[in-house]
Amino acid sequence: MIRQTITLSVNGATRDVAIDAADRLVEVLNRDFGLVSVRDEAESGEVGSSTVLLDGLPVLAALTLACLIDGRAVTTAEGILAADGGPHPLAAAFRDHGVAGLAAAPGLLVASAALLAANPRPTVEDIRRGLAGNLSFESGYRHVIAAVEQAARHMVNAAEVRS
Amino acid sequence: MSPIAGDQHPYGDDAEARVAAHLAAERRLRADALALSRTPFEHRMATLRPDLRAALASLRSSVTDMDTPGPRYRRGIGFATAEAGNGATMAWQAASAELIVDCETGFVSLLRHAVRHRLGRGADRAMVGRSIEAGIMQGLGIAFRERGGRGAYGAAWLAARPMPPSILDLPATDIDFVDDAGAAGPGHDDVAVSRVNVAAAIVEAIVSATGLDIAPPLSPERVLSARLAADRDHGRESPGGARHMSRQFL
Repeated sequence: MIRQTITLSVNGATRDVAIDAADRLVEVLNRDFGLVSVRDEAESGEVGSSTVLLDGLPVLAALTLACLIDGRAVTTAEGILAADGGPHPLAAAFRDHGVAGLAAAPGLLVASAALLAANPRPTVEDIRRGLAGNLSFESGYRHVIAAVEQAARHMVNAAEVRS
Repeated sequence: MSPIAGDQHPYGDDAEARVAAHLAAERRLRADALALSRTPFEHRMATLRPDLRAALASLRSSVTDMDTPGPRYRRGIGFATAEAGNGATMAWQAASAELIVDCETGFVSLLRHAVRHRLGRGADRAMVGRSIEAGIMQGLGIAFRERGGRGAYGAAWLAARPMPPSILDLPATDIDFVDDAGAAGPGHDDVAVSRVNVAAAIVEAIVSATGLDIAPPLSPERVLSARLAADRDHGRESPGGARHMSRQFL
């Protein structure tokens, strides 16, 4: 097995890690960074439980070879924070609407954060499209939509207060 | 008598058998109705216990009056009922599904879905509502999504389970409770009756639309091949023979 060392910035902290060339990002995050929110549930990326941000864009860590992302920045659910460094409004919204307890929650949180970063005022249709890659086996999606809407409102209001 | 669906976990090891048992019970009910010259809905109304009958009537009254987009489409409305476990908890669910079948492609569009649950007194109605919605989603997965059945890749636990629908597949869903302290529930299994029952309502709606009793998953390929086989059996040329399938059940 070919070994190599790559540099990853994970949730703001930069580290060198030794990996096998065939290692997927999800394995590196679980094994070397101890980040258990990134899960490889389907082993094929189908349910979206391994969603992370790669340089701000959502990707599936289960389908990303770690050796191909040397030097790039990865954000997992643990690193999703508000603009001021505090807890992201999505965290509170997920808790309020009962989304936080779902197995799919970390992936939904990351995908939702990417959606709100790109589109601060999403319509329901925007939310549906933004979260289409994240399947939940143990809930419907209506409360997920409500949670993202709540977080979006909160963020827009906070931005207006700041300005 | 309503099919017994409690303690059924379609996502367990014997998922297929449990779903098949529920669908077989619905099929028997349809045959009984035919023998008595009733529609399945009339037969259900004549045999169900009063509270479940009232819930079914409420679902029937909420059915929308919609047109199909064209002659190649068939509209279907299906109802299914399930009582939990051995009847000890007195919990039940009634479900309805409204859909349109494209007879040329086999594509099924689920337009609206409604359930009524009797669960006892829910301490946290929002949470119970979410559990029921989860059951509906899993029921839609049973009805429409292919099983995993993976070979070289994919987690083993997915192999026997239908994938749930995505957020883009979310149909208009109407959930209501019949709150009743007299019921000893709810238990988790009682909420879970929605999984099989929802799938059964969709199968019934396909029967209503096309006259074809097709076992899930109701993928376009399977619906279309069932339709073509029915056409062959009736000596009709395809695809023009779709018209004969319309059968009014209401």
